[in-house]
Amino acid sequence: MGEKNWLEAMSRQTQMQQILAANAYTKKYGLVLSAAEAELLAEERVQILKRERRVEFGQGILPKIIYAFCDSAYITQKDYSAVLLRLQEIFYLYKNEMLDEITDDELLSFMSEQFENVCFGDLDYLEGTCLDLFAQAIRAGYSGHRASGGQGEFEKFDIVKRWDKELYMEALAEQAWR
Amino acid sequence: METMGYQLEELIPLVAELAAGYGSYEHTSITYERAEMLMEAVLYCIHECAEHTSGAVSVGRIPAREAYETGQQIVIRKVKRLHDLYNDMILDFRDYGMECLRDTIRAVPLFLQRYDVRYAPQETLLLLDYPIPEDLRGLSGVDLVLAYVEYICKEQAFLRRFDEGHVMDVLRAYHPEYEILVENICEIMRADMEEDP
Repeated sequence: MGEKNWLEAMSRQTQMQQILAANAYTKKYGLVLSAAEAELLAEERVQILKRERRVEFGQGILPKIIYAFCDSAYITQKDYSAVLLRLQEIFYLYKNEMLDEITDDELLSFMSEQFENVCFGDLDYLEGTCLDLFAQAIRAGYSGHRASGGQGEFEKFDIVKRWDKELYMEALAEQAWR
Repeated sequence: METMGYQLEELIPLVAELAAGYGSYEHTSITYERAEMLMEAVLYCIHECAEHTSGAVSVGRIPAREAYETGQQIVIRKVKRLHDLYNDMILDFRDYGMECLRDTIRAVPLFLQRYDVRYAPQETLLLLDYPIPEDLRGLSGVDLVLAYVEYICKEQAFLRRFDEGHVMDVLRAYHPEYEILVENICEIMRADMEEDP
């Protein structure tokens, strides 16, 4: 085996060990990754990094993604590894889209909050709407996330009215008069 | 990529350390472009070590980290030397009305202020518009600016042998609006001396 391949294999092995080590914590949420799934995630990480033209040193982001999302109400054991794969892709994509102006923790915090409270588990909405709008703001110079750590940011840029008092009163009146 | 006789595997940990510090330990990944910039920073310092120890120590024979750290100390010493040289020169600096020379030298403190020894020692930052007859191609960062300022010091010492008014007369005779020219004063003086020894 060539030296480079040996190094890549070692890096993948380290990644896998870290991913599998997270099982001890996530199993209380009913989420566990098999060795094959961990290997796939580690392999996909390499491909995504190449695609997004990024280099990762050290621990890598996947364990952090796992810890940030494992308590989600919208992730089940059935789709756990597929969701992690997608989250990993989205994470690196938006690191680039936000020009590295946001730290890993801030981006993860923003992503997990939106995933839970705005997207209700819809990854397409997270990627195509929430993160897209937030990235536009970041590129335009917004820096409020530094103070908030990425929490409670989306409502400042949300184009959809989430709470419509008039509509609520109308529905309430309809219920009450029925 | 030229790696100064080192294997990439030896250089990557140095780049990784720089990357972690550059991102304030808050980013686990960086873009290819940033990684390239940091690799250039590492190689610039190793090159400094190679230049400094030429003939004595072959860079490939000492560990990359040692070569890098030695090189970084050399870069820091060069910045200090540039600082001292500039401070000595500026006390009696004459631009002879030449705007290009004045503006170029005026920018040197900005270089000292913004030069990033750790993350981008290879960047020159300045345009160094005032032309000099020395060939400094192949140099960058503090190497280039230091060599440039060393030349300007020599030029200033040479020009001080003449009366300031005489130099300005020669320049005006060369071109009535010499102030806006982008030409070397010594070259004009030399041409004048050759014409009228």
